[in-house]
Amino acid sequence: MKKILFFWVLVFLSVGSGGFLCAGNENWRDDFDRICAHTADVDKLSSEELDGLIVESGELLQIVESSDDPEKKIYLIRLKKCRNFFIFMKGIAENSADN
Amino acid sequence: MNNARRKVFNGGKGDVNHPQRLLVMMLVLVALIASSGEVYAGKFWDLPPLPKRHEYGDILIDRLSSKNEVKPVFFSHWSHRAKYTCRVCHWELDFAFEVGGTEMTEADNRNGLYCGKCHDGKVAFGHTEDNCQRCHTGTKASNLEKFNKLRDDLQKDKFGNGINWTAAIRSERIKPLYSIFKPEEKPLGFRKRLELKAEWNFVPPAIFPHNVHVRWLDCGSCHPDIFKIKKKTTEHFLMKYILEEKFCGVCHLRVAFPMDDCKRCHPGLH
Repeated sequence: MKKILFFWVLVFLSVGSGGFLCAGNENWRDDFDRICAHTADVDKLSSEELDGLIVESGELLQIVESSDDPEKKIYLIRLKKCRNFFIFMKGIAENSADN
Repeated sequence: MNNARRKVFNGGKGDVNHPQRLLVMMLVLVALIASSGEVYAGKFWDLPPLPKRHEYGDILIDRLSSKNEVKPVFFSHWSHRAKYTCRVCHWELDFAFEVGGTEMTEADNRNGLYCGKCHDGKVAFGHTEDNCQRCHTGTKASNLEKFNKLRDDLQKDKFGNGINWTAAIRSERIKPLYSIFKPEEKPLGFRKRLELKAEWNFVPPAIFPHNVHVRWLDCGSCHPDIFKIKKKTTEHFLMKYILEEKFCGVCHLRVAFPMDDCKRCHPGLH
């Protein structure tokens, strides 16, 4: 009886943890979509908003790097490109302000 | 870079030391422009050889294939760009612009990355053993019949594929997907037109229209990796760098319309 109970506890834990990991994956993908979508409206963003995106994308890079998702290599490169683009646009905005 | 280039005149950067020789060459240059009526860059620049129309933009990917005793992978740009914008592969699927620059493996494809995203047996033929030979051809093997059928329906051009892809997408004769992940995503409405001063006073400026490019690409496709520029620092887009496959040369030597037709970028040339 104890063995059966232990078995079901194990099953419950494995299903539960799997669900948790999926939710974690979905979260970083949602954040990825939200952050990288701003490459399409970057001309409307303020300098502060660009700063925020640069920080957020830097933080997300660390989260994606620690993920076990087999697709992470693609997301990592794209996220780096998005971040570099925000930094680039920040530079353009600062340059325009100086002139 | 391909060494077998069409070298006719290298823009005056060769062994022209004697002023008289320089003068003669300049006169020949002027005569050529005047006599032809049209200005083709192949007469003055060391451009890569132009393949047949249906083979323009064809590539062989051999990062790991030969090492693993498998034939290299053939990829035809024209057959894909009629259905998908450059952005889909070179942004969403993370294919590098440089041939062989993508760290793609067989396992990645089977896991639905890179080619495997579409070549899953549903969207396009699957990445299965019975289909190996369809991609691992080892040679550039574009289908001429399919190409001609596509070209017949589209606006023509002089060089490259002989297809004016810009006109084709503008007129909606082709409707390549901008995103395979978010169908609602639309190109950025950025229309800034740049006028880039040429290296020589007698050549009118090159025109760069952002709106044409954002139909195909994402802003992040070019900035900052290819064009890390700041305002008023576009002077270094020299032809010699472009011919080294930098800046515009990343696409406009072997895939997007080639630079043989000077007037495509320098519309003020007569």
